[in-house]
Amino acid sequence: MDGRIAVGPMLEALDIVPETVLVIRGSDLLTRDAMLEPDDTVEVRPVISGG
Amino acid sequence: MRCRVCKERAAVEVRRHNAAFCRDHFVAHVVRQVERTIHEFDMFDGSDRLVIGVSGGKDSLALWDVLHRLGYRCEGLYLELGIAGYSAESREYIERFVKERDLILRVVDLNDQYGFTIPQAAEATRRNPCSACGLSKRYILNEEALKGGYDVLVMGHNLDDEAATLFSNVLNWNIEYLARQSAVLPAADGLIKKVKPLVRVSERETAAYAVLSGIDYEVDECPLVAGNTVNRMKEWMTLLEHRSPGVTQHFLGGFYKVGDFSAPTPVLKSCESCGRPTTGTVCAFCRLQERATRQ
Repeated sequence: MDGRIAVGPMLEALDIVPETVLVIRGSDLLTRDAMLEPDDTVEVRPVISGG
Repeated sequence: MRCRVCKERAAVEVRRHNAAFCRDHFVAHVVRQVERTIHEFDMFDGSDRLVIGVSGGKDSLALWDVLHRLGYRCEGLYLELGIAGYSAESREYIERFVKERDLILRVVDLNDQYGFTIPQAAEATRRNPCSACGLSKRYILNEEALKGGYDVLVMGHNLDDEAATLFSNVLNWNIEYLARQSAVLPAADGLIKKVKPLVRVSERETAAYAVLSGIDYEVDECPLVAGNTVNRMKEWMTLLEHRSPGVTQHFLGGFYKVGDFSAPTPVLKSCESCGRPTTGTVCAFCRLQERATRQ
């Protein structure tokens, strides 16, 4: 990632449907307008599971 | 994005409610949704002895946590399914959860008590593993809950689980299944009352609730899940929800309101092997067990 980017556009760039994941930074959940800095590490955690 | 209640920075957006919440107000929102569902469907009250089927995943642990917060007496029931590299880890998450909250957990080992594991059953019967697993879980949770003298069996099926099942049943016009699908399945001879208090909470919301409540859960998917039909339905429903927020809840909520898919009521007899209700001579679980344990 070269510069700042918001969570929503990041997911779009990765072709991920936002409803299928949580984006976690440290112990915080991020909404789609949250800005990510170039050095940030985030977890994109899938939430869909089998029955 | 700001919390609808306190205007602090939001942690979770709930697009179908056109709202966002901070950590504390999101947790309170989920608890309120579950409480409302319990009352609206007359699922149980404080005098009932509850048992919840727990898998180590986000839904059952989040729901157990909500019930604990609401003050209900609820014990846990875990089935050790014998899935290598998965079952042991899932159980560790549950045991940690139980210890932290001083709750009671009963463990049933499928191999010790019924003589087979899920991989063995899937191989012996050539069924999809999820089908053999679902059948075994439904049978054994009912059986063990009855044996334990509980009043109600609580299940962690969420809004997306139930909507995906409904979608599948509508696509295939499984009228008998539609007639039986409900947030509450009343007790009957040989069947415990079964309830699903998470039907107003989406899969993403239960995951968010778990993370924000500090619940560690099994994030990885079961290694046998490939080809799961409900998951495929969920993927399609999720695309619809993304384009049209709220459609999943309208779909399931509307079904509960319409609610009358009259189908010929199956005549239930006692299984010749175990005595539990069945439409056949020997129930599907006993047939599965017989094939899975055949030498």
